[in-house]
Amino acid sequence: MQTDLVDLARHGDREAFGALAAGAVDRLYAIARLLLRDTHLAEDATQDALVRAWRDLPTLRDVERFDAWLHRILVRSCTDIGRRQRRLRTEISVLPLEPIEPDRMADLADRDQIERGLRRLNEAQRTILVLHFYVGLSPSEAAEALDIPVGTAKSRLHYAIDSLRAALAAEERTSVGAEPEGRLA
Amino acid sequence: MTTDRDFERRIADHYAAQAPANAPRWVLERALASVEATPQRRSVLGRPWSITIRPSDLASLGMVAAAIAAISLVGLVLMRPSVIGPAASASPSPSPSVRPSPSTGYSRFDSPINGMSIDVPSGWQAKPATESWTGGPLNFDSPAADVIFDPATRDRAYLVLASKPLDSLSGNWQHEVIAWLCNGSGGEMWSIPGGIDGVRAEAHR
Repeated sequence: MQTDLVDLARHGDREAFGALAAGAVDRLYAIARLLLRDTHLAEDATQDALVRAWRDLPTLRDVERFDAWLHRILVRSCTDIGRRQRRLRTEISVLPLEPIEPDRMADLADRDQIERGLRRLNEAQRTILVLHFYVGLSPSEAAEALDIPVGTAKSRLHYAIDSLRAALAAEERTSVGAEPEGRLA
Repeated sequence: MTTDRDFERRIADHYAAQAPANAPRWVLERALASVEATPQRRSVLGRPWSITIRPSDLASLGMVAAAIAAISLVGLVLMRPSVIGPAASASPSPSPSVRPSPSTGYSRFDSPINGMSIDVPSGWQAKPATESWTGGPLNFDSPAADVIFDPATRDRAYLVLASKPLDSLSGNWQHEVIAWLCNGSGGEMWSIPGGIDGVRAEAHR
């Protein structure tokens, strides 16, 4: 049972914490990668969150809330590391080199369009989208992870979706307007 | 035109496709190596504790100054409820009343005289007050104080809970209370992080 491991780790059992960390590291890393959009920063944030979790585990009062508490620590680690690295950060996209089948082209184009739309959102909006749509947290759970009121989480999620939709619509209008007018003559 | 659900599905699918399936192995290895060299951050009293004020009791207590203190770790809580009523009664608690708390691993102590509840780590014991506090130093043996302690430390580190009507204090009451708590203990000021809703919290060490 995870709660047993949490209780043991909370009392200083490093082996129990190791088991908890092993079970959580892939999920934490994936979330960090989506939040920070940088492989190396995500690695740093994941390590940082695990060490913080160990250090602060005695302050966790309800062992049943371990996952939500861990998400909150990870978000803080991502925020801190993201801020520290922002000025130095260079984003490099690795493009697939293998041949792309025609039926995958539309899929990739769609994802690329969403990615560009996400880049137009602010950090807080991107964070709540990841927590809701990737981690699967409800607005109240996301509020707990972000340490914000539930109402704020709900409105932030609502505006994030609307902003993304508006960004994609604006891009579609731009691309339509930019299409060559030719071939008529 | 896509529906809301379709659009949300696109977002979810995008994240699912973008998220890496696994963390590099060394991320966990390095984190656990750091954990080996990292001590856990523990509460100054061993484990975190919390205080809950019972509004119904405050109504009968009126404006009350409550103090929580320890000898090696002296804490002070001063509260100012909005309802004004008669001063606290001096009827003693018939028996220690440490009982399981809603929070796992904690027990709740209810103080009839001081109108407070406090959650402390399970295993701690309580020595309820038998009379109201009229002022003066507070310590492990004070009959006017609820004394809550870890049996392992007893009178070396414990909490003292006492209360006094604010209207019986001078305009310089904060310093008076601090003087009572600090009597014989000395030390430096420290704060209870975050405080308590409706309660001003300060402490000594």
